[in-house]
Amino acid sequence: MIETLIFLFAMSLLGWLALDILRACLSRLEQLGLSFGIGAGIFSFSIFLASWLGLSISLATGIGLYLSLLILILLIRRKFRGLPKQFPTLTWEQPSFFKFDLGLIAGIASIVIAVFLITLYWPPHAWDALAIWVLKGKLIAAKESLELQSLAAWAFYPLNVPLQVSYLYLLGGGFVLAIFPVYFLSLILIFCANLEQIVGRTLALVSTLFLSSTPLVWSQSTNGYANVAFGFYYVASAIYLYRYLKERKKSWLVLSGVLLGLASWTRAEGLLYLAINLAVLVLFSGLTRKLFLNLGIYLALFIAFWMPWTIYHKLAGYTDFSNHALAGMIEIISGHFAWERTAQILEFFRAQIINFNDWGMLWIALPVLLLIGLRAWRQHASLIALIALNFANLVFIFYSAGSTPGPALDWRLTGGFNRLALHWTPLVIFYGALVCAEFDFSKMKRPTLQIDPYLILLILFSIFAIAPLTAPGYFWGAHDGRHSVYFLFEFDRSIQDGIFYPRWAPDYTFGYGYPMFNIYAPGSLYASEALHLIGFDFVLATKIVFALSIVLSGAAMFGFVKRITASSRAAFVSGVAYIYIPYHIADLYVRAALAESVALIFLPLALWGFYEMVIAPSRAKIVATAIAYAALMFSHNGIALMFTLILGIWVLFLMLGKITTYQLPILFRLGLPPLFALALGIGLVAIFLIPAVLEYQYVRTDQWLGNYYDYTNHFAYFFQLFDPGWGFGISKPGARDEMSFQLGVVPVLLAIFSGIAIAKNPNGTRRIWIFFAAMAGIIALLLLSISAPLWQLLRPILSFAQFPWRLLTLTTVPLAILAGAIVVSDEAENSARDALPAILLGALIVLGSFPYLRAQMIVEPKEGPVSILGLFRFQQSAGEMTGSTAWVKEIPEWSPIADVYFAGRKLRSKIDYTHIDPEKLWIGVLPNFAGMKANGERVVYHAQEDTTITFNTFYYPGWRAYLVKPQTTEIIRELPLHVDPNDPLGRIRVDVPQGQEQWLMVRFDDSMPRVIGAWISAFSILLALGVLLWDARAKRSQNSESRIKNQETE
Amino acid sequence: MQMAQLDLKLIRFLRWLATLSIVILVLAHLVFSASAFQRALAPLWERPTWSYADKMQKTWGAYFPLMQFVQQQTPDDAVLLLDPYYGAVDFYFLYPRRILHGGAEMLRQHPEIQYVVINDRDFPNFPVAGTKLMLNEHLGLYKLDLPR
Repeated sequence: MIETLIFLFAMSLLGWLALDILRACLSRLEQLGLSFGIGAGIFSFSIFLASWLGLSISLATGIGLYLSLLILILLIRRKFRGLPKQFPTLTWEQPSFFKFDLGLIAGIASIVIAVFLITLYWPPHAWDALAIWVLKGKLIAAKESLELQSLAAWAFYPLNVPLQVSYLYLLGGGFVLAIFPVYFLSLILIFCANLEQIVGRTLALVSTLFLSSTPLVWSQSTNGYANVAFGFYYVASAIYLYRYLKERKKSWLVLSGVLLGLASWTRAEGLLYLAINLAVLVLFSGLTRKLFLNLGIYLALFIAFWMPWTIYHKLAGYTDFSNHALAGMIEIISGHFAWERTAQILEFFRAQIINFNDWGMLWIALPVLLLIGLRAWRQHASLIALIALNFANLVFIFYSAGSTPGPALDWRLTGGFNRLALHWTPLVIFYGALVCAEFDFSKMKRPTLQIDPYLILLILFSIFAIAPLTAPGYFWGAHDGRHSVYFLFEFDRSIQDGIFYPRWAPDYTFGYGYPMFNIYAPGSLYASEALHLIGFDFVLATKIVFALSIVLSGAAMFGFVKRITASSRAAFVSGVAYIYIPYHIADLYVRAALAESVALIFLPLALWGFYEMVIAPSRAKIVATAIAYAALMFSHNGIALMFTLILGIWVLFLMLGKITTYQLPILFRLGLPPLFALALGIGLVAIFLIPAVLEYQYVRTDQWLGNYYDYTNHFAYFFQLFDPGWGFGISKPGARDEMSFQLGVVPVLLAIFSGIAIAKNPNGTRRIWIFFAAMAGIIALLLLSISAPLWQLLRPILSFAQFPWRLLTLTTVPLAILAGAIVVSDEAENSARDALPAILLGALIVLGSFPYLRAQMIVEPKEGPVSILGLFRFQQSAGEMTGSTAWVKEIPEWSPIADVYFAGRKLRSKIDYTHIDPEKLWIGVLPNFAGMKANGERVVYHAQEDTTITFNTFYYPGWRAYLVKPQTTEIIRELPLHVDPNDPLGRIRVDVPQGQEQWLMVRFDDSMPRVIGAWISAFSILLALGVLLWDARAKRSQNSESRIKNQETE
Repeated sequence: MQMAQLDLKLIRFLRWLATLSIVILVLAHLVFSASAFQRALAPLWERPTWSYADKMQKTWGAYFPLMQFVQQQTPDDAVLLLDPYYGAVDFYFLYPRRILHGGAEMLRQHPEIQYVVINDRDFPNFPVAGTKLMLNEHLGLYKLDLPR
């Protein structure tokens, strides 16, 4: 152990003294961070050159060379800076830290200590350590030459790390992995030191904590792989290149060149990274004579470290990494670009974004930072270019790997991605820190901290509504209680398989599958899935979303009413009423309708948005309105479509109000912002809406029409609107319904009292109350059988409600708004005494609904724990969980897939083996169930003749079959997929050609409407961002103009 | 004026939203990292006294005791034929012995091979004439009859 420490110290000292030449430019922390990497790199490189010249790699040679290097460095140092006054210089400025900074330092130090402890605990044990890096070191030390290093895997890998390991072996071999955590420490020191100079200490420390805690960064520092060393050299090289381009100090360029050279002396990919750095240097330096000189310096430094080993290993005849890259490049240039392979790579990257166990939130942070840093992108363009080129390089490396013999692309992606991405991802965090610095948190005012006290009061009042959710268990017996959880279960299946926008639910209808999420708005499921990915189980995640929907819907109503009345008191009362209106409570605890509960958040927001569109439109508000409308549609398309009609009337009503003051031709201009917001909103949600509309016809709906589902049996009776009775049962034909359809006694009374506001016209709000009173009245009428002819007439729109009583959802909005009317007054709301009536009204509303705040909690559901078995048991008792597609003639009541699961096994394939002749067709599946995915499967087969394989999966547009390359998803050609008209189950059948070891892939792909929808959504997002950017720029120039005017006036 | 105030509020709201996003991202990142650290550090306090052999067996399973067995049973200058499956890792454990990777063809081409290592991956799956030295039912060595 002592020998190891001596080695580490000696290398650091060598590097420290070498860097002392640049002392004028480097901070102490930078010098410390760079010292080990530079010292060890120079030492190992010298040893390699000495060995090539015939010297043995022994302790004596090492000591001799080390001393020679020391003397040489001191001589150079003397020439540049004179003799050192101290040896070494260890003076340190006394830093002053905030307590918060000290906490951050303690956090980083804990991580470093933990990394050292983990490394110390394990001997070299991982494959790459035993087969490459440590093995090379061991063989070099044993033979005291490079003779045997080629026995290790990948003989062409450079020897920086192995030669350091070999000296640790020569010194006794106590702790040969010690250099890896030291590289980790160096990486975070150099990262922090550079950032501190640019963004200040606190932000630098937060970013360093983020970097050092990224699981892959520290875990790769404990396993004896050279990636951490390469990462250190390359990241430091990129940072100094960035700093050179910002500050134009030649020292940074020299340092960057040396570090890049040492990176190429550590791993074989050096040339590719050189290309990236050179491209950035050229792009951001401008075409001057100085550029060529700089390029010369940079290249010379790189080549000095890269060339000797390259010549050596070429002479030795080792295979070369660059051959792979070259093969890929030739393939691309010659026009044989494999889109499928690229798609597979990009698909893999997509899956990595949610690989939190390796990357934490790094990849999620990147788009957020890009968005936040949009305004100042030019300032960091060189760094953004470095990151972008590194990403492109990664894609290229994998693309090239796929075109050469050896392990399949799948293997390379899973085995190589993380390590290669590790080399440059610290730059992402570095960029994040720069963006946050631009953001300038310290100068941020605190307007949003001035939260309206009535809003806080409203949130406190919502506690009673949430309280039943905190009881143990879940309302499994509620109408859609099980649905909400099992929808999430199925949704999660796809997300876990890397499908970001799931459309197919693979386990529906006993495993035959169903395009559930193609026709069902998934907004609420994304919310609960996000919570599930954080770590909450399915039930808890669902309960949290229910709770959030209550609080946020009240807050949304508060915001809208405050805007239209300028009264916080009215907003408070309306917010409380919105939360506690009996049907809202029934939606939660009787119906457990998650999607509908979430949609209730966006109803007031959509009204608010379109109000702004007419009254005070702006570019930013257009985007906000579009988002509110899109969110509503994404949460519950049925409610959204019905509410669109109301929004249309709302907009026309507001426009009519404006026309009285302006002239009629303005009507057209007034209508443009709401129309644009609506169009943008539809565009944003097109990824869901277009396929849902166009492909709804391909699912069977007959089982949900007629008989019980006949809407004429489900009109509410007039007395039921006021009946205070409560129940947890279902709606039944006639008046014997087992659930409540009441409007709520307190909201109705308050709506009646709003007549006072209509008469008084406080704050000029009369028109608003008239509109919502009319809206409440008309919707209430539509609940009754008296409106049956209108239902018949408006069937296409009203059918989205399924049952007339479900229009109660829409009555909650006007009733809640009207509830606030009584407390609106012309006087300012200043004194606390004025708050009392509003608070008492709020309490009255809560008390009016208090008896209904009950949930029938069940701790253990009869289906058992949430699982695939539970899902199948649930399907046995719930007809709506056995949806089928238009090709299915007979809805199954069980399946062979369910048999497999109930036998306690996992499903290997959905292939129907019943009609397969095993002598003519052999089918194999991938080990560890790797072939089975939520959106299809891959199998290998040997067929003596052309044949047909049937899958126990319902057909639906988008199912396609392909022949693929072995072990990959690279498509060779598409195969015919069809449905047998005589098959009552409408299953997919694939015609496969004869052949040995053929790989078949069946996959649920995107149909044309889905592709078009996705593109429209992507375009709409860009458009929305563009509008926001335009808005921000316009405001900035407006501000500067007004500033100039002010100055001129002064 | 009211419009401008509203827009200003919207911008401020967006700034706070961005701040909140960053704070949540950092906290979530630390939560995931903490859980990863917990897993990585668990062996240190759960099994602090594990020996080198325990740790290696935990990682490599039956392969590690086989390598130890081969080390014990063969001299340093032995020539061995091994299954190519573990590749260069064999060198790490068995150096300075000379190692050849391959099958029956390799055995035929190299008469100097003295031992063939038997593993639990059905290797050797070709006839070998020699004395069996077994570590257990599946793992061991063929000491070849010489001269061949």
